[in-house]
Amino acid sequence: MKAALLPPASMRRLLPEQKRRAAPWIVGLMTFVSLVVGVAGLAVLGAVTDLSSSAAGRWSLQVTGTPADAARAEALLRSTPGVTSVDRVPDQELRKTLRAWLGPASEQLDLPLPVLADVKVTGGGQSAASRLAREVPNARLTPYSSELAPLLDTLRGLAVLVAGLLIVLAAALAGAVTLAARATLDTNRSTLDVLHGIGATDEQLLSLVQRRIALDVLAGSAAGALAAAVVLIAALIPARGLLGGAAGAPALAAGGLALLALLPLLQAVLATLVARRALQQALAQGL
Amino acid sequence: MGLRYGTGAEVLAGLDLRLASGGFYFLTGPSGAGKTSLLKLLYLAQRPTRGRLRLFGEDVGEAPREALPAFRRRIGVVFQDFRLVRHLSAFDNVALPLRIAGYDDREIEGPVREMLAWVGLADRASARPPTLSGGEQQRVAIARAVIARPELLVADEPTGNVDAAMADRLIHLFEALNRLGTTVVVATHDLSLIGAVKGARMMRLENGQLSDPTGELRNPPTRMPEESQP
Repeated sequence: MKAALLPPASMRRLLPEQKRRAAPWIVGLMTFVSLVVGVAGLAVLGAVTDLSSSAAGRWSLQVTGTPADAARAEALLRSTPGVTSVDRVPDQELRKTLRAWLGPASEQLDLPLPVLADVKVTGGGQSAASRLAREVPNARLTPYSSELAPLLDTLRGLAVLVAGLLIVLAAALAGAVTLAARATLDTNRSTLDVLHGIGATDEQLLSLVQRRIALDVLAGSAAGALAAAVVLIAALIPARGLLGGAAGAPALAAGGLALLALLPLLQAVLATLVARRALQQALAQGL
Repeated sequence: MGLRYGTGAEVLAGLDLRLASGGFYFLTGPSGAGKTSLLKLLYLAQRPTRGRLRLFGEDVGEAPREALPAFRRRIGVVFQDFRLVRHLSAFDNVALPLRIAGYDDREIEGPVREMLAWVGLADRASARPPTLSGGEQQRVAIARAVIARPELLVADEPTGNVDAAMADRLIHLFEALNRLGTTVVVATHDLSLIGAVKGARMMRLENGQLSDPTGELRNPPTRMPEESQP
């Protein structure tokens, strides 16, 4: 493979230099789009992870009855094994939230506010919820995860969509590189025919064309990656929400970013292998 | 052997010939008789569509594709249309067979300069084909064909674009190679060349069929042992 990619200089100049080539541009655009889509996918996956971990073991207590019901519910939960904390949400905070939703008029409406508490449970809270439902009918204990389920499902669906898009982009890149390889072959057909006629092997001819395509792909990938990095940094710095997850953890995991950094290289390798295969098939059609 | 292109009629039909190793052959015949097709079989640009083709003692008609480059390196070809690589200098065109065979620049320099001098193009080594005259291009093509000292030299109208003096010189180059053991097959319309090479044999192609006006093809020379047939 090394010999195939690095033919000696005297062999390299057997193919003429072509100044206007489409392959680097196509590969550059594909790389740019792949990276932007990949970062979006990582952000979505990060959000799913953050939301799932922040919801794990957390339940919401809602009491619509009397303050005595609320006190009973809280006392019952505190005495339940596995419940580590019961933190009531202050009335002031509930009213602030209500004002945010309904505007200043909410203060004049004198709406009845339920008692809300944040409950942390280890080892599952289903038994606590059942016991609460039996003993305090006006109280309800629901897991955060069930409230977040529709959002998490949507986000997971988006992540799958992003993965699908990346596969489609890889397939499009493979198609574009195949066409570029055949175009290079056609452009240099007369030279390659002469070399073939005087005893050049398929491997020698492949090394000439393949090296050129590999360099085009590497150049396009590097340019696309650079452009994507500039755009993403410019877009992500103001929108810190993409950088910071729901629980304050980084939404874009370091492993994912490393994988994205490798994407241009992976694309170059994929494109080179695809081009090599296309060239082999094209050469095999002749004698 | 027979040869047809695609589904067309056979351009070569019922061809049965043996070339002696170290022989010198002229191939003549009217245009369209199949001379170039026969040469294509010899330099392995085509396989016969029927029959058997043996070169250098091996059945190349059935040989796998991967085996053919090694045979082609033993054959020098002068194409009618020269087929020089336009973006390479005369030097690099002549050096092609040596580069393909894996020789490095230091090993190539001397033989290529010498060969260019021999064909009278020492001062045109760095010129590219589009800047060379037809005759000069033809001489570069001939130099390229013989530089690797092939075992079989196939030339299609090699003197078509050169003056009589150069034609004479080129034929003598072919003769010199032939004396070193190279089998030479020259397709030509120029009957004067045929008489210029002592001991050369003539094959005549007409409508894809071979005839032997000299009567020698069916009576091979005594120095043509079975195992040394090219």
